[in-house]
Parts: sequence; C-alpha cells; structure tokens
Amino acid sequence: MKILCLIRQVPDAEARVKAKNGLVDLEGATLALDGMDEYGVEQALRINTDGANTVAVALGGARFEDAIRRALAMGLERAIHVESSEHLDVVTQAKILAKIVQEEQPDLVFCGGQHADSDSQALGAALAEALNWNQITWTTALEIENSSVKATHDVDDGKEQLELELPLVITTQQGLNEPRYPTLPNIMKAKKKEIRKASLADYGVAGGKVRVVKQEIQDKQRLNKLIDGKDPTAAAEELIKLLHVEAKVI
Amino acid sequence: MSTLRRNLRFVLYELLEVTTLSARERFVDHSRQTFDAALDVAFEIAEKFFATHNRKADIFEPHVENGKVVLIDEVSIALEKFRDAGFFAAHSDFENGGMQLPNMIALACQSVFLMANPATAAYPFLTIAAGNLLSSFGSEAQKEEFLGQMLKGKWFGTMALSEPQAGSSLADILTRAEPQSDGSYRIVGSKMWISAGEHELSENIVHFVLARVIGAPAGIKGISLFIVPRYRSQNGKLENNDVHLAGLLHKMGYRGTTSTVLNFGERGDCHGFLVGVANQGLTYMFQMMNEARIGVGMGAVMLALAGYEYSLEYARTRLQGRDHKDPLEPQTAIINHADVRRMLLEQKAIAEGGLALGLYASSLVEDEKTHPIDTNRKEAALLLELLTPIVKAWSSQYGLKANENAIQILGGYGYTREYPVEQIYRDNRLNPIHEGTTGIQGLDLLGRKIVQFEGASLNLLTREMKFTIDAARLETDIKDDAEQLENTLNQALQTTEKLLQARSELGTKIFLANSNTYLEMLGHTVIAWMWLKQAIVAARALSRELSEDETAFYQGKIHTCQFFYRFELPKVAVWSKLLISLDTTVLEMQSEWF
Ligand SMILES: Cc1cc2nc3c(=O)[nH]c(=O)nc-3n(C[C@H](O)[C@H](O)[C@H](O)COP(=O)(O)OP(=O)(O)OC[C@H]3O[C@@H](n4cnc5c(N)ncnc54)[C@H](O)[C@@H]3O)c2cc1C
Repeated sequence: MKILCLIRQVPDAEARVKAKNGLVDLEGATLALDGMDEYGVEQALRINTDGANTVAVALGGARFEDAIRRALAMGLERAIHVESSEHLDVVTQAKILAKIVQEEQPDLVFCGGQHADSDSQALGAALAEALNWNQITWTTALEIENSSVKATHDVDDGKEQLELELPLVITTQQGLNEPRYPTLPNIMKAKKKEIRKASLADYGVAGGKVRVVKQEIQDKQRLNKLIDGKDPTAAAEELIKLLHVEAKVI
Repeated sequence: MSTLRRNLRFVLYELLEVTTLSARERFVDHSRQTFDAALDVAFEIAEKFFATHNRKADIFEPHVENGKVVLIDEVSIALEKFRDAGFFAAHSDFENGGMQLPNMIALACQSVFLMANPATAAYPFLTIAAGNLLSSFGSEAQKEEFLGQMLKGKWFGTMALSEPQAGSSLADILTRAEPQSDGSYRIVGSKMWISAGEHELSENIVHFVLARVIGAPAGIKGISLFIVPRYRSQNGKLENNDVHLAGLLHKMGYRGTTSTVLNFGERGDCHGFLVGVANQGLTYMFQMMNEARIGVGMGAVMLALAGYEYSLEYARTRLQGRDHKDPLEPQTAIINHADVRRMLLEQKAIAEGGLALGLYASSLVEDEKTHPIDTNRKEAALLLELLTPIVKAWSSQYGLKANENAIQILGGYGYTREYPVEQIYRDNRLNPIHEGTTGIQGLDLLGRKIVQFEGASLNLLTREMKFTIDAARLETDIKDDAEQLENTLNQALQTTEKLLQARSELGTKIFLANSNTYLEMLGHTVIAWMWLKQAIVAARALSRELSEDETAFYQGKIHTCQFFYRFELPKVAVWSKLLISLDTTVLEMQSEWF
C-alpha cells in the first residue's frame, strides 16, 4: 500500500514565541515536527513496517527540512518538499497537495488532526474535498484489511466506529498510537534519503488567497494560586479540580 | 532544560565550532542537522522518561527482595528508550551500529540525561565507559563476546576498582587472580562502592575488575585488569559466575544507582579474563580516566545548571518585599533584590563556565584521536592532561557552591523535600568524591601534570590563553577583562615557578602542601579564560541585528563574564600570595593539637 503523510514544522510546545512588526517571529525558537503529524507518520510505519512506499509531503519554508528529516529518520522512505515561505490558506494548500496526490497515486493520506500553531483543523477536510475522496477525522484507532478500513472516530463525549473503503484521507487524534523516536543510526540513514524539492509555480499556484494582516501573541497572566496543604487529600482534590475546570488540561 | 538547550547551541556551534569537524574523514557524513537531530532525541527521551522519575527513584531506593535488587519500573522503561534510540553506541563506528558522533556531541547528549536524572543515567554511562576500555585494550575475542552486547545495551558494565581498605590508594588492593591452565583466572576478593554492581536491568553485567595476579610485584606495578561477567558463557549458555552481592550501600544522594559491595569467588569458581597484559591494569584504567573524569565534571555542571534553572524560575515568581516602603504597593519578585541576583549570577558563572570548559576538554579528547595533524594531536593530549583534574575537581567543588545558592534563593522552601533543590545538592555531593577526590586531583595537577614533560602542558595552556587575550583586546566591551586575565595568568605562572623552585630546593612535601589551593588558583584562571572566550563570541554577535531574546542572551554572557572578573577572579591574587609564601601552617599542624 502506498501512503502519503502530510507534515508541518511548528514551534515546540515549550517555545516562547514573540511577535515582531505585527508578525510571529520564529528566530531562535525551537521548532519541531507537529505532534499530530507524528501520529500519521507512526501509523504509516505500522502499516508498512519496512517503510517502503511511504512518502512525507511538506509545504512550507526552507526550515521545514528539519521536520522532513525527522520523519525520514522515523522511517519514511522519501519526501516531497514544496518550498515556499508564503502564508497559504488551507484551501490553496489543499489544491497543491491534491495535485501531488494525483501524481503519486497513494491509497491513503495521513494528515494531522489539528495544527499545533494555528489550531486549524481544516486541511484534511479541504484535501478530501479537493480530491473528492472520503475522509475519517479525529482517528484514534485504525485497522486495515485489503482495501477496507475500520476506524474509531472521536466525538465530543464518545466515539464512533466507521468502515470505509480506500482511498481515504485520515486525520489523526491523540491516542492513535505512541510515535517512535528516530534512532541514531536512522538519523544518518535519513540524510541519504531523497527529498524532492518543488516550488509553488510547479503546481501552477502564485500565492494564497488570504493575506495575514497582523498576528499577536496572547498574553497569559499567571494565576499564582496557592493551595493550602495542611490537609493533603483536600489539597490534591482542589488541585485536580483547578486543573480540570480552570486550566482544562486534564 | 531550556537553559541547557540554548547553552549547548552556543558552546557547540558558536564557541567550539563543532561543525568544522565534518572536514575530518570520520565525520564527513555529519552536519549541524545530524548533530541537532541527535540532541533533539536526547532531550525528548530525557524530559519524558528520565526527568519524570528522578524524584521517585530518590524516594524509593533500590532494595533487595528474595536475593534480587528491586528498582522502580520507570528506570528500566527509561533505559529501554535510551537503548532503542541507540545511545549506547552514539560515539561508536557505523560498522558497530553506532552513529560515529564526535566526542563533543556524544558528551552533550550525555549531559542532557545527566541533568534530567543522574542516577538512572549512571547505568548506561558506566557501560559506555567500560565499553571504551574494552575497545581500546581488549582482544578481538573479548570484543566479540562482550563489546557487541554492551554497545547494544543488552549487557551493562561496571568499574570495580575500590575496596574497603583501598579507595584513593589503589596500590593497596587485595583482590587476587590465580592463573588457570586454560588461560583464564580465578578471582577472589571483595570490592566496595561498585556502582550498578547488581540489578536486573540487563541480561548480564560485565565487571571490569582490578586485581593482583598471584606473585605480582607490590604496589601499582602489580595490578592487572580483568573482565569478570556476572554470568559467564559455558556450552552456549549463561552460567552463574560466582559473583555475589554482599550488600547495598545507603547513600546521601544518587540513590537510584545501586551502590554495591561485591564478593568475587566465594565458591572458588569466579572466572576472570585478563585484559591486555598482566600488571598494566592501572595504566589502562588511567588512559580511560580522562574521559571518565570529564564525565564527572560535566555531571556536576549539569546539576549546577539544574539548580540554577529551578531557582531562576522561582526567583521570578516568588513575591517578597517591596521596592519602596509603601505597604500598599504589591510585593516584588525576589529576582529584583540585588542579593538574589548575586546568587543567580554566581550560579550562572559556575554552571556556564563549567559547561564551556567540559565541552572544550572534550574537543581536546576528539583532537587527540582524530586531528589530521600529528603535532595537534600531541598538543591536544598534553593540554587535556593538565585540564582534566580542573574539569573534574573545579566543577564538582563549585557546582556544589552553585547548588547552595539555589537552596538559599528558595529560602525555607529550599530546605524542604517538597522542592527539588535539596536533592540536586545531595546528588551533586558525590562528584567531589568519586573518580578521585578533590584532594587527589590537587596532587595530580601540581605533582604530576605541571611537572611532567618539563612543564610542556602549562606552556601550551599559556599559549592558548594568550590567543584569547589578544582576540579580546579587539573588542571594546571586554578589553579590560583581557588585561585582567593577562595579569592573572602572569601571577599564576610566577606562582608555579616559585613552587617548582621550592620542589627542587625544599622537597615535594613543601611543594605539595597547598596543592588544593593551587587547584583553586589555576581552576579560577582557566574558568576566567572560558568566560573571556564566551564574551568574545557574545560581543561579536551583538554587533549583528538580533531578536530581543538573542540580544538578552549575549548581553547575559558579557555581564556574567564581568561578574566573574570582579567577584571571583581577584581571589587568585590571595591564593597566589599564600602559595608563593610556601606557607607551612597546614603541614606543621600536629594531630594532637586538634
Ligand atoms: C556513591 C559512590 C559511588 C562509587 N562508585 C565507584 C565505582 O563504581 N567503582 C569504584 O571502583 N569505586 C567507586 N567509588 C569509590 C570512590 O572512587 C572512592 O570512594 C574514592 O576514590 C575515595 O576513596 P575512599 O572512599 O576510600 O576514601 P579515602 O581514600 O579513605 O579518602 C578519605 C579522605 O582522605 C583524603 N586522602 C586520601 N589519600 C590522600 C592523600 N594521599 N593525600 C591527600 N589526601 C588524601 C581524600 O581526599 C579524602 O578526603 C564510589 C564511591 C561512592 C561514594
């Protein structure tokens, strides 16, 4: 089976990002392969365990190459990098990616469920639309037999089981798998793997339709809440409540 | 660990220009991209699997149940991730499944684990050190049997030197080796303090044991090195090799690493295999000691950095006191108090100065092995000899000072077990003791390294420092520091000359009486050199257009250099004066007068 994995590079979750002249300035920030895309890469490698017929596809600036090498070091076979530092709206991105899909003729395309930087969840859907393919979104479990796919799709307070036929666009969700780390020997092997470079012009696109006017970074104040620890059980309960209700992290 | 990340980038790429190594044949396949990728994996595994059980492993110490050592599960999970990623062989040749990383990058990766959880990191690092010993001095058959398994991380290794009656004085070890007709030896004796000496984390444990072949000369000339596995292969199976755990030691820190007393040959059936030739054991060990001691120095620096990072964050958020007297004004963060900034600056100066020195020393390890020019290889070896005791002893002594400041910044909270700084201090307290105490390092520095090869090492250090001083003179912001370092260096050189004169006229006792002070004096001078090197890079960077964060980073470097030169470097004059006076106060004090 041939699988395409769409990947992006984003600021690391811990990175302190700043805005300069009304735009996000990534200079000096630690960048990483988007965690949601990593689930797709991992899943592709679980389907094709030797990495054969797995292709990373990235659409972004020159710096994306680190993320591409990372996906290759995890085990993907080769990559296609459409190099452009322009801001491209999701629909324009999907048009370019659809052309790559038509060139490559994969059975399956993995796409991160959500972009870690912009929070957009639209790319998978826009690509499926551009291809006129079916899609499964927010996928937390996947089984493939011949050309039929059984998947679990997350919904707000539960889940749905779906069965569909290939080809498909599948977007990922946390829980789908635990992505592997690149091994040191594979980092060296990745260096020799092919990254085909392309430009927007190769796909007949001049630029996006949306222009970013201004970006701002949210200023989050620390709450500095102190919990009285005299009764440890009550303190733990209070902490869990705060993390759940206020911080919404658990 | 963000401070470490940024500082590694600075020291590796800007200060030591590690990417230039790709001009050497061994590293042609490497580039910044492969180095960064390896470091990224180290950070991810360290943060997710090592740091997360650092505290738990301290609370739930290893213990023995039904004759087996029990550790918390997280240790083996972390080591599995470390093993699967290939870190056991990071430095090793491609043919051996390694990544053939330069020493500096391999050490930088190790440092990341040392900062996250030194006790768990000790298991693989001892294995790597033992593997290096084997790869330098073992026979092909021994490498075939043991090294492959160690590089895969399936078998772990230990260094079994110390005995209850022989710690600093290894000449006095008693463990015996009796030759057998099949070429092997039977080992009998007890070893104490052996880190990672017993556990169930690996399929086998390969002990590297110092012992005396029966009839060998007394003292260090009669010590040989043996491989003594926990299980030996016999008829294709692994059999018990008569190595017994006599007990676990209960330590102040580093609790997650088992510290063992091991008995070899209680049943007379402990097989040992000679490494290299007999009676050369200590020579082999000492050849590996440079790297091991740099590792200890880096461990101390990492804990200094861990305390610094934690106390910095704390100082930025802890509100206490006011800038003005108005009680209605909100309290200010303690970082705004000058004395708290002093304590932070002292930590930063120690941790980042030590980091630069440790990685610089590791660049010398690399040059000694792979520099294409013969003279450079020899010079690197000479300079490394001199700097090793400083990397080891200065970093571990001052690393603890840094940790004291971290505790002090947290006030009462720092003294409680709810906050990590007390554990950091306890863990770090080991570093001035193992791999040769600070006292022994002082003797090694003055008694051997300064004296040997007619002072060639010190001449080289002088030459290198003068290069830096000349370069710093061209930078307006730091040219006064250059002047100060030149004066300090001259002072240190005059002191050394005076001591060497005393050695020939008054004997070694007086010469070495204040060797610890000498170590402090030269240590501070060398760290000042490292700070000047960093300040030059920073001054040049500041002449470019930079983001706010980057500007702050480089300004921080120049300011910390200034702090070290104003608050610490003047101490050299005091130490120098004492040394030049050939003071005998310590020597003349009598046991009964205490
Ligand atoms: C946690 C831990 C882990 C260890 N791991 C290992 C290991 O894996 N393998 C191993 O072989 N060993 C290990 N050691 C042993 C360690 O190397 C020794 O503890 C160390 O070398 C000091 O020896 P000692 O404890 O016998 O102290 P001693 O040698 O008795 O020294 C006591 C004091 O006397 C001073 N002193 C001794 N001789 C002199 C001298 N000639 N001149 C001036 N001062 C002197 C020392 O500086 C020290 O302050 C470990 C120790 C610890 C605590």
